[in-house]
Amino acid sequence: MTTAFVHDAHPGPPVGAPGSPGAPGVPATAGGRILGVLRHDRAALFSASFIALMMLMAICAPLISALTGHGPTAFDTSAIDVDSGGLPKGSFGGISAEHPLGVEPLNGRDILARIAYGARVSFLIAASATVVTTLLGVVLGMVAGFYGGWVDQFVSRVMDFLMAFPALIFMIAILSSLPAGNRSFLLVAVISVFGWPYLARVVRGQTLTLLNRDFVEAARASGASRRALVFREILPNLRSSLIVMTTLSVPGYIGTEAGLSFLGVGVSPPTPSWGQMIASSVSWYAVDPLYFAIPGLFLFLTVLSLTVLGDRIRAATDAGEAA
Amino acid sequence: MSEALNSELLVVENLTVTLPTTRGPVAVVKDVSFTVGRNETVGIVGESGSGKSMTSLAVMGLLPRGAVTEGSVRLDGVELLGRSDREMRRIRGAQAAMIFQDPLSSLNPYYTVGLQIEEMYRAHRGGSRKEARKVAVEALARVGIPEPERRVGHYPHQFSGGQRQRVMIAMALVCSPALLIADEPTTALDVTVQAQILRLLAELQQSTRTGMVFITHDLAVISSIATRVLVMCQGEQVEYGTAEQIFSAPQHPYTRKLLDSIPRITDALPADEVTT
Amino acid sequence: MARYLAGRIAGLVLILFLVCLFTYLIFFELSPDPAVMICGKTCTPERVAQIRTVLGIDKPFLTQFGDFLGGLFAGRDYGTGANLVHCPAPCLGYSFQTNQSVMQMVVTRLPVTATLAVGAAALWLLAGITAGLLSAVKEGTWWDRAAMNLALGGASIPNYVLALALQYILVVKLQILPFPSSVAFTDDPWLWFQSYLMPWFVLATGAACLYARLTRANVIDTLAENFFRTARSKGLAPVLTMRRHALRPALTPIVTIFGMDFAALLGGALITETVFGLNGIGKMAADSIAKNDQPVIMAVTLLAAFFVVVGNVVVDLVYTALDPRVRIR
Repeated sequence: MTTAFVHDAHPGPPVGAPGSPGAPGVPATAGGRILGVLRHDRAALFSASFIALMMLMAICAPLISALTGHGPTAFDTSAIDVDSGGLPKGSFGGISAEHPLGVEPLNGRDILARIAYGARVSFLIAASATVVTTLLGVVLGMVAGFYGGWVDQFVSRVMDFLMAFPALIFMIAILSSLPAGNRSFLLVAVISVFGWPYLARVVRGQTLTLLNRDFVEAARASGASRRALVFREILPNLRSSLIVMTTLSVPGYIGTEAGLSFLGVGVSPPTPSWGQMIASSVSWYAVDPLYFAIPGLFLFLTVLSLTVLGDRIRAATDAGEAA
Repeated sequence: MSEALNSELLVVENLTVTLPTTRGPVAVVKDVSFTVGRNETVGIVGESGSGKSMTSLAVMGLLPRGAVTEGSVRLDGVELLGRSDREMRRIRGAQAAMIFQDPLSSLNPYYTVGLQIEEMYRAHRGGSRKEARKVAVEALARVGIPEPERRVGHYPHQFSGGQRQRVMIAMALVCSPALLIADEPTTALDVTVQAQILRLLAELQQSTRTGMVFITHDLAVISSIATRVLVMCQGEQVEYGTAEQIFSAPQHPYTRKLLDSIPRITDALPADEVTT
Repeated sequence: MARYLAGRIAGLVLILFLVCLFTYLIFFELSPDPAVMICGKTCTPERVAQIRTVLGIDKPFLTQFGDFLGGLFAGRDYGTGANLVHCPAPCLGYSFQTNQSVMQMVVTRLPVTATLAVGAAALWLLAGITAGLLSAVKEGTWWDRAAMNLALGGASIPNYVLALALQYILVVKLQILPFPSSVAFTDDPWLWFQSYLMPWFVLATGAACLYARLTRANVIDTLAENFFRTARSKGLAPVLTMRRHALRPALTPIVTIFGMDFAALLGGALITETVFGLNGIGKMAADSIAKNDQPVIMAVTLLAAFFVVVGNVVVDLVYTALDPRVRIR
């Protein structure tokens, strides 16, 4: 009796899931391990390259304008066909050597320049909002978890309150009633105020769990100061979940910024933004679909790349923790 | 031959189990053979990772996806390896039942213990819910759960650790299986409760004339319950014989090491205290 | 149980009160004077003052806020003498723009939003859970990988981009569907159904993708549970094994998330309703914000917060019923 039978007829956990302990050639540090895993993941590589390209484009926006000779707000009436009601000349939304991504109907602004400058706005706002929410979330979440008592009660109630708030309606209402001022700054402020509780809630929970772990109790029993406890024992252990949460929040904020601009309460024209471009394409999309499709596609691909990257980083850290 | 069929309940011959891993296939059970007679308890002893649990899962046909088995496993003369999941379902629970190490996580927290016993009974014997409920109450009474009529409607988290394992035993025996596999049934329990569960298992095994495979890492536990013992190490069968042979004259150095690791009273005392 | 409920309801009322106070405060302090806006260009200070009196915004902040709360619980009177208008409780005031009763506006628009929410929820639950389940059972196969990558993509499309793209393809190019219109179900059921198809789909897409990933993760975790192994060792029928020992434990936590998502949706799907021109609560919110129609903004904010907070309590109660381990102290 030496027949071999393969067991496959039933559902059950497969063996040898990724991240088997002691896999050779895996660096020991969290960051190094994540990078090591990502290097072998095609989707993650594509996403990272696309994001790098977008950032490069945002940084080099003035250079792009100089090369094509079109600023983001410069009108080019020569690219517009007045007889057809302001549609771009030529097919595909006026795509030509002169305007690689075409021009806007009616005023002939160069879409490539506007996309590049719009990327600046999107990335700047999303990055700033991420920094602010992460700082607020980590500090307040840790304070609540670490001190407990009335401090915890207060912070937790504020979080409940902010999370019960209809954030989108409120953001729009505040932004529309506030005087113009510095829109980018206002956007960051509003997004951050409603964004931090989601991070703080996780940080608070993890701090509470960590405080009951043996190594923290040992440090405490051996007379470590509060500062040492926070910076040497708790913060380093929050690192991997913070990496995951922040990477996943960036695409969220890019989407929120674009959404607010789409609804007309984001950055004020003529400063370009992707959401705003999509909004102004609404009345044209039946006759000039590319005017809508180009910013839509850029927005979608950016959010997708960041989401994929965040997802893969989470998978890598999960596997790392299991090992 | 027919005599052998009558006396031997479970015959495992040259069983090899290979699991696929990220680093290629790994044999976790290598060429293991043993037999279990009717109304007999056979112990399988080994450290964690020695392949003892995989051996029992191979008998039940519960190996992880992608596992490859070779050799032969016969229950009542019927070959089990290579059977479809559909055929194995009729055997699982009805002819061979299993109890596991951690009774809390092994019981579904969303359903009452009564329902979890009933569903097993009805899967194999049919009958109405009412009949099954009666059987479940009797099963709980048999394993010594007080007030079984009331307790049958409780959820697993409402029981203590020892009681949960009693529930698991009641469930496993509800269809009167010919073979019971107990995979470290006392490891997760308090020491005092361990002894009670062991006694219960031994009593039930005698009264129901069930063949039992008792898996443990603890030779001391085996000594009180098993007639034959199989010692495993890293997937290989190191030693196999009657309990007396193993305990009085262990052949293999690994067995001797296991025997030496059984704690004795004198071990617990510092040397000078013993001498003075 | 009664004590627990009383505590939860007290907390709920407190949060709603704070939401009211904050919204009121921010608009009182920040927004431009609505009287000036209504008055228009040819305006005298006397006329502005008159309008302010009629609107009731000439009083100090706390008095105004008190009047608002009073109207909510006891009703309130507007104007004097022959012009007196009684607004019965719960009174949300009158629109600055159209003079309609805000309560009346909410009542007429809520069914649209509810229709949108129910349809979308049914769609995303069905699609998300089915796809997640299949992926979990077929873990590691091409189907699993394809479905999960698709889900990442679907969750990344901003809903207005999806809405506009769908409208372009289905309505403008292929002309399979008509432009969505706010036709009543009783007038033309077929047109009504067609009008809601795209909004349902757009609202459901993002959520369905998240639910698919969540379901997959939960089911995979459950299949690795010890009690699932026990169930298999019992020789139960596969359908029963899956239903009781995999689906019930895996899907119960999803109830919490679903409750919160659904409650949030009842507060108005602002972007979807605006893009498709559906006259629901969300479009009402967008319109009122654009016109600085404060009583309406108050109402939509309060309504959305109300759904979120009540949804929270309902979810907790449902969860205690579904998970025997959770018991109310």
